[in-house]
Amino acid sequence: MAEGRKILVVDDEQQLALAVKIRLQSRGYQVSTANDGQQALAAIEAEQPDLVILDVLMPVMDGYSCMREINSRYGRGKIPIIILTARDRMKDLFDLEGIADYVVKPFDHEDLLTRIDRALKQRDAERKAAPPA
Amino acid sequence: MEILNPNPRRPDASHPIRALLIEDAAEDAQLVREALASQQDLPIELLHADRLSTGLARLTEGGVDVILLDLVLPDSQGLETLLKVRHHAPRVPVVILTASDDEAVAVQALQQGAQDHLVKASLQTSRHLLGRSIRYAIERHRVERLKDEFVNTVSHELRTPLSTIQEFTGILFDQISGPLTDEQREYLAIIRSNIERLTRMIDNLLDMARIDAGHAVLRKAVTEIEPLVELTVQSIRPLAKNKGIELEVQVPDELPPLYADADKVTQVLINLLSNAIKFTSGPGRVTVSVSEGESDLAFRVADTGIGIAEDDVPKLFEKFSRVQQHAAGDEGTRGTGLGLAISKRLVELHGGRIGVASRLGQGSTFTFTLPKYHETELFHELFQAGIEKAKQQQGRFSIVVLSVQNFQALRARCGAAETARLLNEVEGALRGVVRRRDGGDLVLRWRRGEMVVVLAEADRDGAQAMAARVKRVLEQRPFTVGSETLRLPFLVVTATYPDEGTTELELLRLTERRLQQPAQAKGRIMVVDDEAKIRQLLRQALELQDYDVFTAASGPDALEQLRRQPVDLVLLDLMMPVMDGYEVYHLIKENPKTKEIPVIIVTAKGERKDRQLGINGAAYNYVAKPFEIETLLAKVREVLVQQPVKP
Repeated sequence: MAEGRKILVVDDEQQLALAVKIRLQSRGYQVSTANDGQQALAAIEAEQPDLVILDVLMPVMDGYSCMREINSRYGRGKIPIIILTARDRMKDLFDLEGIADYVVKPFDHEDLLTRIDRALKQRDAERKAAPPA
Repeated sequence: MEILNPNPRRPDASHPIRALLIEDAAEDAQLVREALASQQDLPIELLHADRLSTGLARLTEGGVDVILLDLVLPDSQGLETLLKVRHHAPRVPVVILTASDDEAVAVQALQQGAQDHLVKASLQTSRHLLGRSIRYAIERHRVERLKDEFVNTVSHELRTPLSTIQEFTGILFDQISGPLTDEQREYLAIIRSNIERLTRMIDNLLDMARIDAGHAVLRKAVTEIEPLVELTVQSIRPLAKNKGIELEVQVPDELPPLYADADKVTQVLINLLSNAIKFTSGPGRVTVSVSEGESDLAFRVADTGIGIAEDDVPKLFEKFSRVQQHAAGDEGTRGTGLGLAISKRLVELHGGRIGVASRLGQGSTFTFTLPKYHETELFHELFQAGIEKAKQQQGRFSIVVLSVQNFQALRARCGAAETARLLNEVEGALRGVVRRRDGGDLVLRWRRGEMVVVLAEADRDGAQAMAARVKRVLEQRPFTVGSETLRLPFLVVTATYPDEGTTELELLRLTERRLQQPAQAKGRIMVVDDEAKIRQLLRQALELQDYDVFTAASGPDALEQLRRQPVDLVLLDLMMPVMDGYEVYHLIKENPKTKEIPVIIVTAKGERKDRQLGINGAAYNYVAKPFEIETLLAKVREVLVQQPVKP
């Protein structure tokens, strides 16, 4: 399932991003990281990842702005996005349209992996139903 | 890291300390004035209010640096007065003025948030005491706020490196970066368990700070009790097993769903369970049981441990209580001493209560209750849960809505009570039809003459088949209407997610259009009462009169809902545990967002009439229990006419 799939992890906490990267790589995903929204957009343009994990609280460009920018550039939902939000900032979830899923920090890595799996499966199903022009 | 400015403004002649004195006795007020006048070095501007309502109104204007509060006022008595002031102006320090040297009152006041207390009589001989109290109160308050800010900020800052440590320890432990020797794994396990301990302690501190500051928010959802209890017990089983303690679970089969914040309830259960295990030396037994009461659900955790001394019980649920800190035996069981205090707050936020029965040497039983909600009160939540589930499973979700044709005419002919009885009969018949379908959830709710059935996992065809069957069966069945027996004509329509709509609102609007019935509610009413039966009764009566009804089982619940959506009227029971009607009334009337909402108080006959509620002496609307439904409906109409319904 994971073979060859590319995931971009975006978080301003570099060490945490690294930890997530190590976990995902151990499951067979190809992972790259970015530290803010701007870097994320550049990375998406260059690498065309299959899924993006996006932290909400970041400098320069926050997760939500970045998410909207991604959806507007590539089409809504075309690149599945999983938002990472801190437990006390659940109120950030005012716009669930446009993201595939969300995970609350601190998160369980198995939970994240399950959601990634589900989001990718969903995306595959959608691609099959409506093949890109 | 930003911390509140630790250097306070120095008071001087151009910036005096503004003190608000809330005191009704003229002689006592004079005493205070004279004491302040004699303080040359402390510039104070004194404001005076002779009743609580005036005082609170002045506080709303802002700019008060300290409050001097007499607890016995014409419009408020005792500690309730302090609570109201604290709710109204949480950021202003308070000095309690007491008539006699009552130590107990003073201690309670300090626990409830006052910064200092002063015996009025002492001002006759030692005037300087007032200035001293004021200075102390302001300083103490400043320090308390600094502490809260500190705890909040530091907790957040501590969490990030802790997360990083946790992540990488996990990566090592799971051997992702290479194999480990048994010894290495063992040491990593020790590191991990201590990280967990640290995380718990920080979470506790943060929780407490948040609850203290009044920021704790409950995220309620409909939850099945059995899985919640089971999951909690599973997580604690290893701990029990280690000590040779038997864990028993007693959860009856037929329990209504719980409407609460599942995370918080789990938190409370884990707190009680781990305490039970901590304070029981093996072999022993810990039993978790749940039971259903009239208006609540009771959760009990009983242990066969060392028990609690009678003297220690009152302080048990306080912060940093000594009894909690001296845990029996082992390392790693000593906590922050906040567990029970947090549990108490969380339970009370739900409108529930917590208590303990214990004997030294014979074990303890901790019990907490949570309000019970009828499924019709949870219509919205169950609807949402159904949509969520369908979304996750990428399946379908349908509703079937039936309505008695010419409902308005029927209601006019029969009157409120008879219509209610008839509709109960229709509901019974409908349940009979729907129950024959295997599987799927079922929720019924009367909504202005319509009855809604929620079908989980039903697509459009399935829903239409159900609708056809419902119509056929119900139209063949005779119903009793007054003294006659006749058949009723029904309209039955359906709506399916996601084909015909993606939100509750869309689906319901669609069915309303299909029924071609006017869907305007006459008004939005909130019913606040701790008794489930009363809520049901009032809901039914009001919905049948075309009002949209929202219910709350407690003060905190009502206030939370009012924060989120406006209503046109509140029906408020006075006698409620945890937060009584008086307090809720005041909180509604003092919040700029909600103060315009008319409130009808429901009181028991014989309530002390001298307890006034009005701000500025205004009268309040009330209905006395026991009441006739027609009386209540008339009162509701009367009050709403005075205050037109906002669109």
